[in-house]
Amino acid sequence: MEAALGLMRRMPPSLSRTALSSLLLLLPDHSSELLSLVDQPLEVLWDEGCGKQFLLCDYNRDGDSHRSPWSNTYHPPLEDGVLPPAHLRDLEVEANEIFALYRDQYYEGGISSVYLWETDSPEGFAACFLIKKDGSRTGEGRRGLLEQGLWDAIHVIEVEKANDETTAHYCLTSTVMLSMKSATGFQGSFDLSGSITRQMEADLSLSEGHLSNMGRMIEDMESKLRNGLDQVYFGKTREMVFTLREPLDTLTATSATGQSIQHEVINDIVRSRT
Amino acid sequence: MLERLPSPFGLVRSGVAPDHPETKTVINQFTKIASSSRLFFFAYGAESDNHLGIEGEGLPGVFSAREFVWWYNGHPDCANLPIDLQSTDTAIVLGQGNVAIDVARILLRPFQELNATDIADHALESLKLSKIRKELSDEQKIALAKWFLLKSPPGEIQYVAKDLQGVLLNDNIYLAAAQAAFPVYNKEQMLSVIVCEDEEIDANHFIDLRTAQVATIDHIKQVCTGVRPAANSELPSAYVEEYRAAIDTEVVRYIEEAFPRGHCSVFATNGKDSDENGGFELTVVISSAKLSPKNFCNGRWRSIWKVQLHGDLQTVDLQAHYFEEGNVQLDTAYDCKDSSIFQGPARDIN
Repeated sequence: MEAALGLMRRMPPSLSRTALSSLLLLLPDHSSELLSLVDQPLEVLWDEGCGKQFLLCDYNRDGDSHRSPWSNTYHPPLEDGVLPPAHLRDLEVEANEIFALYRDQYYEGGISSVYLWETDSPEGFAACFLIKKDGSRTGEGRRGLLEQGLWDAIHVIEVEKANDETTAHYCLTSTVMLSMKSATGFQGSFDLSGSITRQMEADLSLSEGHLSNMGRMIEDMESKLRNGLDQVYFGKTREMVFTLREPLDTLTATSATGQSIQHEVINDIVRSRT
Repeated sequence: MLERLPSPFGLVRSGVAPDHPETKTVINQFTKIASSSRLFFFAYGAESDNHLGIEGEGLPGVFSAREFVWWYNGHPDCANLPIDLQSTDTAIVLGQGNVAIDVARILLRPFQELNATDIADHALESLKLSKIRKELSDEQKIALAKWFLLKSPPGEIQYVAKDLQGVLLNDNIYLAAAQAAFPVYNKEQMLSVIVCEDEEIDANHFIDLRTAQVATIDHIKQVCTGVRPAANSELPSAYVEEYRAAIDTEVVRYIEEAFPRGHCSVFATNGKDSDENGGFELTVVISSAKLSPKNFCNGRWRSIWKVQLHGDLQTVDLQAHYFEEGNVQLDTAYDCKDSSIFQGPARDIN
């Protein structure tokens, strides 16, 4: 299992789906473990009753159906699908409303979904906040220049109530997958894609409620990840390219440096022949 | 009760899979209803098949799910169905409903488990001798393993190989995949500037024109195991060599300036035996890598310039892999053409 996850860390992120299905074929006995541990780009379903889209993940899945956060029903329909208990469902409805506002503010579009479920610890629960935005040329807004430009964010928070009843322990694991692809245009083929995962823990007072605590943590984490992506995707990659090939300001076949190299080549040949 | 078959209960008997006995308990309800004297119950079935209307549907070896299900459930109409599970290792099930799953499960279930059900004897016998594969064939595993090795980021194939061995847990399969993948990966990645497609003499031997030597490469260990002087027939003609050496000297100078970690090699790819009257093609290969796995960061720049007497084509391949806290990879390739006309030195001399 560890080896399989090691492989997933090294395969090209744009091929992670193929890599995962190959691993599932090679390790059929670990399929459920693999599916829950490997983050995949989020998929989208329509909740026709509400006319809204929702995101799919392992946390709203039961069998082959997924639960919509808007109507609390399974798609395709499932008679005895697992539902969160009433108090968590109330919190889930509120979380979805607030998170949609958050998404509009920060992402100007996109799709979001929040799912809550019970955990083993007493009075504890877990929540997962999902955001997907398509920034490609064909995506919403049609402002992008890329063939494919996808942002997928997955935040999973586990909440445990502390003994003193006034604070709770939050453990947040966030993953952002960003992929940019372009096959045409003057740059040739281009594929920059990847994912970044970070963890964060905090003990917070319950005076303002779970939602506001979780919201603050996610907002904080997202801006950290956003900066991290900036550094890693563009900074590190640029640094790598620059160490490999130092930029010379004007080296082309017709530039002064290029011409002088050409002359030297010719001179060397002439000298060796005479 | 009027019944065409020797036993009642229709679909429950001939349709429900034998390894789902709990579903069959509905027979008790049916018996209760059938014994009521106040009820007329017509159950004459809907037993015809849906045809897909695709080519080859009527070929031998193609059966409807109903026929196959009736066969393993011992329905008298299909007891003698000519189902051949020995001449092939592949069965294809079209459909994704519960019956499709039943069929697939019966085909794949271990004999001992089927033996404990009330599956028809003739079907049990046939499934016992079945050659239908229950897991991936070795060839398929090798192909998957090879794919993983070939997709390794720069400088990381040994790490991928180690993990892959942990996943496969089979040395023979791993070795077969490694033998097929390593040479391809090494050449693609230009492990060393002399290890690439164009300088290949055979799978394990590569020529270095600068020193006129042939190196023997152990692909899996990624090391050079020996060198020997190149034979005359392996070297370009004196005429071509003159150009090659001159360009090599200049490219080396250029590399020092532009690629701090770069290496280069110039060799003749076409018409290496040409004299003054023939054309030839020189290839310039530049490879530059920064591998620092301790800093979670690996990258490689590869460019290939093919210089012909008329026209040239260049490919630049660039990969960067950063994997602290995640997995970010850039893979880009750029093709370009450029041509310049300059006075041939051979003519200048005369």
